[in-house]
Amino acid sequence: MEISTRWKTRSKAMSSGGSTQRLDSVVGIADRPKRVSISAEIAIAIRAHARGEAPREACGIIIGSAPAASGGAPLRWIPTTNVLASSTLYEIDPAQLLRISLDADDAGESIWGIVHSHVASPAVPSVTDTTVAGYPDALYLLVSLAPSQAAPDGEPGIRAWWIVDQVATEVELVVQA
Amino acid sequence: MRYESIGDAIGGTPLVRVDALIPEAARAKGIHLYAKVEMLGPTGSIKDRTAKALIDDLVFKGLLAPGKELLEPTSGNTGAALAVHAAARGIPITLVMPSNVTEERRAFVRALGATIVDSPADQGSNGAVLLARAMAKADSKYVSPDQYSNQANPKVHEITTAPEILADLPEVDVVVAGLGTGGTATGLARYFAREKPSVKIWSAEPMPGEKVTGLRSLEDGFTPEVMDTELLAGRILVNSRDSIIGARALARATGILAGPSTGATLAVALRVARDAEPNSNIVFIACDAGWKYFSAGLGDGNLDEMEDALEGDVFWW
Repeated sequence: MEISTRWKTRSKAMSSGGSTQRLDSVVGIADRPKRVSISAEIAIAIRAHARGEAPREACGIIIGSAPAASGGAPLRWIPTTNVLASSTLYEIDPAQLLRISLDADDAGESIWGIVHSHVASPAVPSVTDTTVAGYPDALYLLVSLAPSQAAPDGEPGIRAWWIVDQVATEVELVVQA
Repeated sequence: MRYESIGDAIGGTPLVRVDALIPEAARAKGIHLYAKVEMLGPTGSIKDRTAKALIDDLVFKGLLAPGKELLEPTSGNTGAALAVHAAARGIPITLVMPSNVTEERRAFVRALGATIVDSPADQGSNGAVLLARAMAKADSKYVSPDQYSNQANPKVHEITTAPEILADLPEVDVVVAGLGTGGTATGLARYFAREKPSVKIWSAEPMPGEKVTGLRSLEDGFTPEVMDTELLAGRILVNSRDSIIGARALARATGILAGPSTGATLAVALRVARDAEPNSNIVFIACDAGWKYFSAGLGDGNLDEMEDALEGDVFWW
């Protein structure tokens, strides 16, 4: 009989203590990277997806070698469907999220970052955003389409946040050249 | 349909195609996914079958003579189902449950006439088991159905659940069930080993140390007597988060609102689907209803907080 251990292995790798350690209790804010970076390729794709979905909020996931909180490297961007199709709210399609999560498990990878757009407001988590954030190990990236929030190069501004226990803490984000 | 008793209305659950959840690559290979929708029974879980079978077995053996009373440590689906089928047959029942079990669950069984005995909250389900054993030892009126060791548990799935699947889908290739007592998977495996040996039975198990209500991990050190893992094609471990996402995905994509243990089973079914032979037909057991978990945030609550709720030491098996 086959016993799949891949998911178990991931759990243990992310666990600092015994097997009952919660995944989200591994890395305190103080121990997380102070600076994170994504490739220009991922940033371009995120911005394009945000523009394409406007006036609805866009969303997607960045897969990494490990969660951002554990110092994992971002590997690739996966755009997803906002099932709420709203200009002020987002929810990643649960069926897509499940497949992405299972694929990541099988590949020994993790959900590194969770991305969504704000159509007209700054790239700052709203109260709703912090309330629904359920991946404390992931980095939350927000991209704003508001002209006043543009990056120095004129492109939509992207900012990054840890959201733990409904508290958002900004982290420096570098878009690699 | 007309029945003489609510117990007669158990089983015959629908097998519903849910291909919407299959990854594109698997769909292109002609793979189909079906949910055996067990939450349509009187108490909204597969435990309706188990509870009726356990009581029938005790009655058949003459162990439930007048003056006898059912006693079971349970805070979840089995307790609810036992309460229904005990009421239908006029058999008194006492359920031992941790004192922190939600009022919703208490009210459910109380409304059916069950007596509730509290066990210490801080001892969780194990405390309920210990107290029930002590009560049974002290008073001979108590009779325990004991779903973990009573072979009527796997047997009911061998003689009802499994044949229903084969009758509805003769071309079935894989069946995935959650591992709680092991009764469902074991019964399915015994039937298919005999009737269609090519069918593979996979089980969904929580990660060691993680709790998916209704399921248990063998890695945590407890193997129920009714479980026969040798007949299984394999066991796949699922974390709590994927179980919750799975339940949400099933609800959104198919309209079948099931609980986290079904979400775990779906996650395993999708994993099996990815590696399955072309044109495989995969069935997973949607073992209980999602409405029982609204207060824990199943519908739209924060994933992280719902994981915390699942970490509570109150189980639904």
